[in-house]
Amino acid sequence: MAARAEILRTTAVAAEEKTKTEKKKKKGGFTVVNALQIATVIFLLLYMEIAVDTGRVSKIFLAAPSSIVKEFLKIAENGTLLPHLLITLSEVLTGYLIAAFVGIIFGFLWTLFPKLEEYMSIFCSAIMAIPKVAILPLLILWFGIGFQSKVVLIFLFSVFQVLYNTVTGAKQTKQAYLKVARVFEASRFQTVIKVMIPAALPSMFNGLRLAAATATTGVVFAEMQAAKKGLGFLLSEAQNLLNTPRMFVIIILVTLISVTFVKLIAGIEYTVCHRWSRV
Amino acid sequence: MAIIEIDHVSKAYEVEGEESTDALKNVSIDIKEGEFVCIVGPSGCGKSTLLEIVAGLLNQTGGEVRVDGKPVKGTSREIGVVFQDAALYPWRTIRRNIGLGLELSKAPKEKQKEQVEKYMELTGLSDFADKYPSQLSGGMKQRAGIARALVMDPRVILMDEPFSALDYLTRCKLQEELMAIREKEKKTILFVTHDINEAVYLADRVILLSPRPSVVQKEYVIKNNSATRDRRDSTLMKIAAEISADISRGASTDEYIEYII
Ligand SMILES: Nc1ncnc2c1ncn2[C@@H]1O[C@H](COP(=O)(O)OP(=O)(O)O)[C@@H](O)[C@H]1O
Ligand SMILES: [Mg+2]
Repeated sequence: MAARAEILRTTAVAAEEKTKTEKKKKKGGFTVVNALQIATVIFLLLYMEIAVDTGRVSKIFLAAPSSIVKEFLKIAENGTLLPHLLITLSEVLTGYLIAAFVGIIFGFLWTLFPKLEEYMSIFCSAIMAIPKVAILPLLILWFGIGFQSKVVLIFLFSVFQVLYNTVTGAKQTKQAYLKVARVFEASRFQTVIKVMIPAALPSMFNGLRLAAATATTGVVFAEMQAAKKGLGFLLSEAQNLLNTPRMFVIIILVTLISVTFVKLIAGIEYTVCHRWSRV
Repeated sequence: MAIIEIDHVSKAYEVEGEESTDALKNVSIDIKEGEFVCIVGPSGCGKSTLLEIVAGLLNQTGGEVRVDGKPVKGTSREIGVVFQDAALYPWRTIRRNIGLGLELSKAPKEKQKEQVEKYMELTGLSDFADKYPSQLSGGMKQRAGIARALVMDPRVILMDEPFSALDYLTRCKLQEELMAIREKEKKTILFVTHDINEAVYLADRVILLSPRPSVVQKEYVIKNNSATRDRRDSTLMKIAAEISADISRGASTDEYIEYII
């Protein structure tokens, strides 16, 4: 008996030790790999600087990091950048928010009325099958080269990702959860609202995150094709003027916007779900 | 009079492109008001199927189930179900999980609150009211599963292997708590398990189903008061050993044995 208690205790202690070391590993701090990564980045930046400075690589192909920073400060200070940045942001946000709203509402309606899904899904599949890039000339013809055509394009880029992820998530609601609802004689509406939609939340957020990642790309691409404003317009203008540092500035900015946007959605997901979903 | 009559119930599962599987064949069981009946049988023999038919979650392909003389058509307030692994909604707190049935039936807010508090107290969950299921141990989750069924005050509670995922000590604890709840609330309980020791410890009557297509292979009546039972009682052990022998011996239909301890 005593021996058994002893064994139990030692296994418990061992388990505790294990979680402790795991925690330590997770915090981890600064490893050799991290150091190498940083060294690589510094090396690349230095190489860019020196290669352009010494003329080994032409200024047209590569920009020295110092000239990128200088160009950024210049267009930020002389007011060239801000209007274009704001236009792009507002196009992305408007298109994305409308797509998220419509996607979630129809996700809910499709779950509630499967007949509606049956009716609509063939049309959605048809629209989804068209490469968005190919539809752009038509959108420009219909909505002009300004704000509207970009918003419509982002909407088309994003709405199906939100819609299908919501509906798929709802369909994958665990059978056991649905049985519980049936035992309590829940109505169809109650089952959708109180069981299927909450169960679909993680999948819905997955769709919202994917859409956030593509939205910025879509806008910048559209602005490069036909626009008078926006970061995409600025980018193609810089290309035409052979202003390579400016191209780098805009590429970096667009990347930052895209990453921040995805992080923002992930943050919203975390506040909504973290208490129960243990992500 | 029997509160539940399972009357020659059969169930064949139709799977497209395959022959249909007979899960149950002419199963008849009567359960008296206040009785605790355990159904045991090899895995895949149709225990869950039978329970879901009684719950009104599944349609039988033959025979009839009556509650209080009325045929079961769909789920009803009279019958509560406790699921394996509790099947709590992870996005609801324990309090809101337990209150689910009352919320769905649009009971008055006051009554909802009162009932939920009462059953959280009874199952020892008051301190965990605002926790989410993922923050609770398996035993605590299943207590919440039981409370969620009790809150609706059903006359019959169906339980499908509710303790099978728990470790031994927790399982014993929950078995004892279930006996206490049963004493207090006077429910009729139909309990499915594959753990024979659990069955003989809990039940007034153990029903052994044969392998598929299942029929009632044998019934064992255990006559002493289950509330004062001792888990290590030698007679209970003997019954358990006999059930286990009968399972390995296989089907020989409709024997009836009484045990008086
Ligand atoms: N939805 C289903 N479709 C087809 N066959 C099923 C279905 N559910 C259960 N079965 C079959 O019916 C038999 C009984 O299943 P079940 O009632 O879950 O058994 P138990 O609970 O005793 O382990 C099994 O052989 C299983 O394969
Ligand atoms: Mg089962």
